[in-house]
Amino acid sequence: MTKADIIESVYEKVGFSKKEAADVVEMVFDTIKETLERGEKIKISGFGNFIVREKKSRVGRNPQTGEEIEISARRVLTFRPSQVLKNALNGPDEPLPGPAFSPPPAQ
Amino acid sequence: MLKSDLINILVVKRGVTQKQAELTIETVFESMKDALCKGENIEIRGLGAFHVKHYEGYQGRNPKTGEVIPVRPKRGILFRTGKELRDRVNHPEDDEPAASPAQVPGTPDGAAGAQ
Repeated sequence: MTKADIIESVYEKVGFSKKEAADVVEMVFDTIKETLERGEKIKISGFGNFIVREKKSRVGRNPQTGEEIEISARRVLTFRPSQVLKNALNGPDEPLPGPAFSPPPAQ
Repeated sequence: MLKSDLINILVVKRGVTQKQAELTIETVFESMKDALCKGENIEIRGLGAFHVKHYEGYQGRNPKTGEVIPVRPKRGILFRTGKELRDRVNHPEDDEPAASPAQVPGTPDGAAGAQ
C-alpha cells in the first residue's frame, strides 16, 4: 500500500475530488511530519503512537572490523502499535496449536 | 497531537467540513489498518514503512512453575522511519535560534540610513 491507495480510499469514502483527496492526505502526513520534527508525539487511537525518543551517545562497534566507534546522541522516531491494532492483526479465533488441535503433519 | 487535532487542522487550513475531516482521518488510518491486517506492507514516501512480521509459535515455560505453555504464532508491526523524516527528527532545521541572527551585519546606524 502506498499513499496513492490511501488517497483512493479517501476519494471513495469522503466524496472529495481526486485533487482534493490528494491534497488533504498530503496535508495529514505533512502535519504529522512537522509535529514529529518538533519532538512532539502523535497519538492515533486505534492505530498507534509515534514517539520521538532521545538517545544518549553510546559506544558501538563496526561489525566488519571490530573497531569501536562512538554513536552520537540523537533523536529517533519509534512507532508503537496500539493494542487494538495488535489484536486486529492477530485474529482472536486462531486456534492454538496445542496437541488437541494440531493437524496431522503433511506427509 | 491527537486524532482530533489533525481533524481540526484540516478544517481550519483546508476549509473542509468537520464531518469530512473526521471521515478523512478515520479513512486514512482505517485503510492502513486494513492493509496491515491483510498482511500487506505500507510505504509512505517521506514518512516511513510499516512491515508485518510473522513470529513463529514456540513452547514457552512459566518461569515460576516450569509449566510448559504453547505460545501461539503471532504477527507484529515493524516501522522503519523514512530517510527524510529520520533526518528531520534528528536535526530540526531551526534547532538553534542563534544560527539565524536578525539583520545585524553592520551597525544600527547603517540600517537607519537606508531610506
